[in-house]
Amino acid sequence: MSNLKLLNTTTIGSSVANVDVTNVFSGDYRIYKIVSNGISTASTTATEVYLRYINDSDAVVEAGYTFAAKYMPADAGFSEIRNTNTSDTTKIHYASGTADQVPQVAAGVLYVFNPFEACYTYNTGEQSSHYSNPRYLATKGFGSLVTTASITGFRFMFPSSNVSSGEIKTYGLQVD
Amino acid sequence: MQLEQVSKIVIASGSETRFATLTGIDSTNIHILTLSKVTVGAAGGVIDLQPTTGGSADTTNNFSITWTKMNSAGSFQNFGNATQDIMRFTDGAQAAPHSLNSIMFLYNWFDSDRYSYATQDTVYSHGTLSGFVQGGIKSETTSHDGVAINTNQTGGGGFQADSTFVLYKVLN
Repeated sequence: MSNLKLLNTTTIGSSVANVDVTNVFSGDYRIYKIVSNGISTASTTATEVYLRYINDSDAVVEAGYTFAAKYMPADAGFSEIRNTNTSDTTKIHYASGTADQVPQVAAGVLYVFNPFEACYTYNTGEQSSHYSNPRYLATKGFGSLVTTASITGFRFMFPSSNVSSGEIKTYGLQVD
Repeated sequence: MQLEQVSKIVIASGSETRFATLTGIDSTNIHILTLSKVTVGAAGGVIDLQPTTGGSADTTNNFSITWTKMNSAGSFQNFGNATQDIMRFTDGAQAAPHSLNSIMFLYNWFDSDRYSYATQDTVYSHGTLSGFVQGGIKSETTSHDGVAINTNQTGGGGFQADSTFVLYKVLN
């Protein structure tokens, strides 16, 4: 028996602008690991993958996010992505890198802390992606949702282009 | 990846403390240390880690570390130091509803013929957000059996109720 428990597998099988994973966070776990792979767009237009959380009323939370990420392309200088230079507090950037059409998929890992608890929700993560051939991109970042409301799920958002394939697995780290 | 829990500490109300020591590493497997919802009684102070030998903190001044600190409201910072006696989670511990959370991988911790290595991703908030990406090497071949975590924040007795520290063994 492993203390790393697979809780949910979500497969993207049609062209969508968002994908929701609902009712996956609970009082049973404090830390969650989200692994995404094969995120691919329906067209040749690439899209960043953003993250928002879903609360226990099944509403997508649209405000109150802080984030900081390092954007590391192979073909250019690195840059810092954060609230103060994006003027954005409505989502977490680079939740799974940048997706493009197969074979240029996006992949990444997020750890989410305390979503169901009456405290702020935090995440760490890193992503690897390939888009607008030949750009290779890695990102590494952190985020939080500044609310003590209970969070039960999450949304991956694809703002620039629909995504038509990919898989998202959510695990819980069990504490005995 | 399969994990097996080795030990845990969940701070109980009325038992607040500045110290959390987890032992039980008895194999050369990679181990994972998690910190979740870690709070102190008042804002400020450090949270540090040292390996343990025989359950006691190894205070030898030979921890080499390097990190990048990413901030949501300001420029990122880089830092390295070749010789210190701790690996730090934060120099800005916080009270609830903020908290500190971390995933740390421990490599060669139990080996007696290799240095002990660690990687650490730590995220916390203090009005704005900070995240540490950190690596460290304990430059000695001492076999370590756990971790000793402490804070110098004495407000409320140190680590507050529900602060959680868990040590896992990676089975494969």
